[in-house]
Amino acid sequence: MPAYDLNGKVALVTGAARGIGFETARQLHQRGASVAVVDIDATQAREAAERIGPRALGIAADVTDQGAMMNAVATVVAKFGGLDVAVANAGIAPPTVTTARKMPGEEWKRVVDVNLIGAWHTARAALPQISERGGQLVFIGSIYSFANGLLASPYAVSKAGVEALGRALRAELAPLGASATIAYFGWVETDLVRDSLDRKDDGRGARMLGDTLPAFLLKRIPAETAGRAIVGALEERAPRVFAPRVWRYISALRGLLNPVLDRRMDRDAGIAAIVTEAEAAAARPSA
Amino acid sequence: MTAYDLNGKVALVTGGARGIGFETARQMHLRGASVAVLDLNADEAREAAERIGPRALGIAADVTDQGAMMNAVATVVEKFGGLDVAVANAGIAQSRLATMRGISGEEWERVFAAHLLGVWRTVRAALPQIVERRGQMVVVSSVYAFANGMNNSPYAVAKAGVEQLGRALRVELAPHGASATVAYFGWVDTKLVQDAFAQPEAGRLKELSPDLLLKRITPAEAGAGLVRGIEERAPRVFVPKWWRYVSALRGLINPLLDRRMESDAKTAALIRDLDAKSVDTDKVSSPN
Repeated sequence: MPAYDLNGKVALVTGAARGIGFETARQLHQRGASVAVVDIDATQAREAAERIGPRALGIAADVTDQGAMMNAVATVVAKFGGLDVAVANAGIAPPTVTTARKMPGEEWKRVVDVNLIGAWHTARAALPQISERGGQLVFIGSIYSFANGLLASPYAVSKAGVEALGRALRAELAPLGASATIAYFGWVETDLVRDSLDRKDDGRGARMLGDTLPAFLLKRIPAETAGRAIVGALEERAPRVFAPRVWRYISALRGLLNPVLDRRMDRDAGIAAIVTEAEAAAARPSA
Repeated sequence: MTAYDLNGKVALVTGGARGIGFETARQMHLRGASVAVLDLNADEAREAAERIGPRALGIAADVTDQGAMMNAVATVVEKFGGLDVAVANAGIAQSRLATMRGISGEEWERVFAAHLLGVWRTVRAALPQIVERRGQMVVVSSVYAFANGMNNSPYAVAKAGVEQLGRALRVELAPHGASATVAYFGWVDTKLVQDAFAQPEAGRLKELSPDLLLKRITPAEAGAGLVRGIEERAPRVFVPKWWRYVSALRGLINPLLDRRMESDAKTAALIRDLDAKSVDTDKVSSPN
């Protein structure tokens, strides 16, 4: 028996129609939980819930709308009698791989709104139930919570913020017997990663990473593996989980490694060329 | 001669009427820079500029208003001919010591927006000049970028974000010969922090921390650290300096400290009291 048995629990996952969110909802359901599949797209939320099976409910809600998230939780409570686990998974990548200087202001702010404020809205909506039932909140951090966010600054900003949010909340929930977990993922085979690294901007994202990271840190994992990491962390009430696992060690050494890596990046001609290329492309009206 | 000579440069400081912002503006001015003192309060901005002397201009601007920040930079360029150094220092000085369950959603988002989006808007307004003149962008983060943000979460969340923005920006500015610096301050002895430490809950929080971590520095020391960082184009500035070592070890010690915090009875008692508290009482300021 795991420390926290998911059988008979009620879970809510945002951004659950696809990718990591869908896999998390599906695997929670397999463990015997009832699941609310929350997505901004109503049709996709419903279809995803149907694919998962009975005890799954599709709910359309935008995480940037606090009222909509409150309503989503109220719907879950009305349908399943309560809420034990909330996974604040919904997230987006910047539509353009470029510098903070060249990224349109609305695009920059939108990423922070969805990834960070969206996680806060989800937490706030779920907290009364989670506190009452000794439940759990899961936040999706990223290796960008600690890696340099060049050409992806709003993503790195939002994921560092999500990490701080999850740590503080875990401390604040401890006296209530509830908990929070942060899941850190590297590259997962999702539309988000494929779009931002491979498809957009002539694969500039992938080339930049190829220039900065050794091959073993570029390995992509399937969404199923990411979902399994989240479910496993829930069963153990773990403070943090990393997939691939190698990132746990990089995170542990972040304070020592980052100043050295950042300095190398400052002086790297290949990186300078990609930054210059990204800025030139963003300046073109069609880019 | 220093690596970056401030003499003859033009600098802008948000939240420049008081505390660290004022000291940073004053000390850059002493080095020969012209300075724009930005503050939310027009009178305080003007008075601070008068206290600093000639080549100082007070400008009223709200960092959460992108248009106002664009106008402020335009005013500086018109008056002084350009902008070389921008220090994104402003934040809401007062915030409540409160749990996420105890704070109102509006308050949380207001504190977050003032710190993170305020820095972002300052950056956006200043960057065209900074890039053109191979200047410097300084973003003021905090030791809360890596310390646990329990009972102070919107501040910690925003400051973690500010750190990531500054790091990314430094790499992105390198090809232009411009740079960015992240500043981390511990507790600075401003009137607001003194009031905060006089607070009953803050007193209890104090009991939970080692004395070393609570040592207060003066705004003048914080400003001096920042100005030195600018003269060296340093990637990071820590005041007090030993926070540099805590930061270096953060990945190793945070999991241990977080775990200790979770199982500490005094911490639990404080959280229970704050949870129970009305969201409208007891204002407590944050460290910078």
